[in-house]
Amino acid sequence: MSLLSVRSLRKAFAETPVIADVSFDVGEGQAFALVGPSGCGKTTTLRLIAGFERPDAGHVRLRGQDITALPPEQRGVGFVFQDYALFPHLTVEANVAFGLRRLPRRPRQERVLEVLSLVGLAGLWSRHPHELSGGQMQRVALARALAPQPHVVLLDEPFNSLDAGLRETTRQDVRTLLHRAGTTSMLVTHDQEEALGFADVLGVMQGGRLEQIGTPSEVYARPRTAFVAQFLGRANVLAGRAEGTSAITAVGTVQLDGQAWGEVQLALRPESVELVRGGDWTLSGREYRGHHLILRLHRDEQRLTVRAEAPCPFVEGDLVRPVPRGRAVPLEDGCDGTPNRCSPTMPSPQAHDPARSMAGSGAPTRCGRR
Amino acid sequence: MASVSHRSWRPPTALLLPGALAAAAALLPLGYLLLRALEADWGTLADLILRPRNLVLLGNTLALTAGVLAVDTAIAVPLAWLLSRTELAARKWLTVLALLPLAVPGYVMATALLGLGGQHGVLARTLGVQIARPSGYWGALACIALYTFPYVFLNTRTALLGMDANLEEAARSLGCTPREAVRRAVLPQLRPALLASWLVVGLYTLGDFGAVSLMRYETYSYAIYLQYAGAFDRTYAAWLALLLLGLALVLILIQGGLLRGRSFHRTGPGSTRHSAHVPLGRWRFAAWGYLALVYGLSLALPIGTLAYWLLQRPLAPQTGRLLESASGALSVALPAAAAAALLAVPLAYLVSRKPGRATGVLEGAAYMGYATPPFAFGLGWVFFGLRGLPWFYQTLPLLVIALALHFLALAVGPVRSALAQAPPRLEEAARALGYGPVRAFARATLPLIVRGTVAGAALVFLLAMKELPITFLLSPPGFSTLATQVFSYTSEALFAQAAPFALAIVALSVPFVGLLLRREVAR
Repeated sequence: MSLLSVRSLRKAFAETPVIADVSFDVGEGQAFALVGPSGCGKTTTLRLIAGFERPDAGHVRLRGQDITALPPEQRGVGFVFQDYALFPHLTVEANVAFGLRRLPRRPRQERVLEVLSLVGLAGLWSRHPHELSGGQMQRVALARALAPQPHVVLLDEPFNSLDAGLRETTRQDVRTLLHRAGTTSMLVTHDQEEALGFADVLGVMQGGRLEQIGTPSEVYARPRTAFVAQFLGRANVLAGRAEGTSAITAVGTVQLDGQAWGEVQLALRPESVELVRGGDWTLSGREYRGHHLILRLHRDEQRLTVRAEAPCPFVEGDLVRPVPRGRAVPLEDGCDGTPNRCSPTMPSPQAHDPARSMAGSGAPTRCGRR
Repeated sequence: MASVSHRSWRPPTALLLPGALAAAAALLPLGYLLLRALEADWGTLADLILRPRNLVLLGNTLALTAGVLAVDTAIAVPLAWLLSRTELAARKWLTVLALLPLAVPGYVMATALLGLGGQHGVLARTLGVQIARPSGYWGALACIALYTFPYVFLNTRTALLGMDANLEEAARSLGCTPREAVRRAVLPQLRPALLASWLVVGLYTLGDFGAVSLMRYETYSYAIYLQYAGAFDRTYAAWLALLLLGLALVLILIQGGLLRGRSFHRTGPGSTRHSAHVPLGRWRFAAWGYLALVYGLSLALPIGTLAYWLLQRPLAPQTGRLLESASGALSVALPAAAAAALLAVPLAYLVSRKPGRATGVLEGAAYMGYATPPFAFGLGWVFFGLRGLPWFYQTLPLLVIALALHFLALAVGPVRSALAQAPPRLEEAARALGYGPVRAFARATLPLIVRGTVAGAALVFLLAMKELPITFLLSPPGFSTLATQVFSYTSEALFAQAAPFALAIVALSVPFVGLLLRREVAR
């Protein structure tokens, strides 16, 4: 049974719908991430779960209990704010103890110490928030949310205010911490790398709707829509004519992950394409990225992004031919962008590892792409 | 969705109620003023409004306002420039001194000036020089200008300090001489600061009652006073008060209109660079002379005169009176300050957490109470008291409520700035940690706004201590404060008797200047 269950949530601000029919489940102990561009409704979803906002329709259930109408303080939900929202007038210790007022003095102090040690800040209990670094404030915020042992911790872009170097290590630390504490968590972010790296399960959101839910590898390898394909890392979205397990596209015949017939939209990852010298595509952009390169090709109005290993022999202006090596994924959006117009047959869930199917054999890259 | 500015949030009734109540109460006297004014039949009405005396009053009031604004600007702008842009020594202390005249209210200044000249004035007694007692236009102008110029000074100084030096240098590089650069690049940027302070000073001038009455200069306020104290034609008094209020509104609208659609922001990237301080060279002596003149007239003159009068009579027989009126002022100012702070918290909370049309109206009402010339405001309460709550009229609680509502806007300001430091997320964090709405406010937000609230209350307290017109109109029979004592002694030319009360007011007002200083000079 899922711990947190969200059903048909809707919310509009000043008659502008922000969330239109969102449903998902988060299992006990799971780390769930909601990812999407800014303005997609993900923070609002989080605030609806926390109880800071009331939904116009839909239900939120926590451990089977309907909490939709409960005020925030009765939900047992922890919240970590983007800017931490530490109480500036209280010390680290008092901040962490804030949610523990029902505990007697002794167990309260023990719990505070316990959580502060968990986040590695036991030595800083007497400081005030303004005396802490960004990373430390982050961890105090987490400790404060964890202290009352909430059923679920909600994190609203918690790594946003950290600089790039600190962000990655903090993210891993927090993930490890939450797992160690056995806490169910839900993260909201606009950063796909963060979502892929943090989550056991992730949901991609756009325009107030959940476009796809799945494990990071599932969603990355088999995006259902062009938006998901492009939002989670680069993807080429190509029009093609499918004939069962393969399709004819602008880059020639590609193998399909699953089966489809007729006019379809396909997602082809940049790492699933190899370049051969000679052809009618022009190399128009070359970005060096250290251990790999991002190459941009065009032929008339058509564009293609290719990821190549360094060193790469091609230079801007070269004429090349792209050769698809990995499998392309038929998308559910129609050829004109509307969902399900071309109704390609989606493969039923199969036993093989989906991460392998798109990276495919013969692709010049491996599956770890972060 | 990183930041959504308009969260759906229903203000709790616990806040909405006092907020709405305060706003309604601030508007109540205006309603009664209107009611009373409209009672007259059309014949009387036409007679009241169209009488030529109204035009004279209007002309006098406008002339006084214009004169005060001109004198204030002439005093304050050079002063602000000297104390912010030059290498003059001890600029910080001189800045404090430049604000001190705020501690000398208009009627105290009037007491001093009236006690200076004439046959038995200070000058005649000490130097044998006899000058005419100031009175009428020039007397009123001097009294009001000499204590309001610090407002203009303060705004101008802040603007000068915040100004980007690059603009002045750009003007120089485009061929302007230093003087031209100041005229064409610096002065235009002072405009918003000047307009803001002109509004404040203008409203003060319209509202001033003590100085104009003592100087016998016929403005609306003085005319209302004459109607009230002498003839007591209430309908006419109500009409005069409404006309005065209309004038205040026109002033507010003009200021808003002049400010609209103008940008004074820096247009480029990068941080503001401060100007280097100008060496004065030989002009230093002229500068010191100017400072001596300004401080001499605005501080040394009134305080010296009052001190002289104080020494003319033994203080002992008056101590009883002094204590009585001081405790009278306290008994009004303390509860008024507390009430204003209590009302300001919910009001400021609503306005800053839920900006919108409804809360805008609430805030507007609070500011209306402050912008309404005090005599008009007080008269509205008189009518309300007589008609609505006769058992309440001329009681201390009514006076306290009227003062609290009149000064409410002053308490809202500091609370609002404090609330800006306490983002709503803090309360949400407390909610997520198991606190109900009221406790969340008490534990997360309240500790952060206590100081601002206390500062606001202190401001109201000090202003209520020396308030004259509303106290004059609404105080219970036999009740006196320091301000009413100064006024009644001075109107009978009993300067030696007035002096201790006036000096007490000055002494009590110095902390008020300190409060302003902490807020303004520190930034």
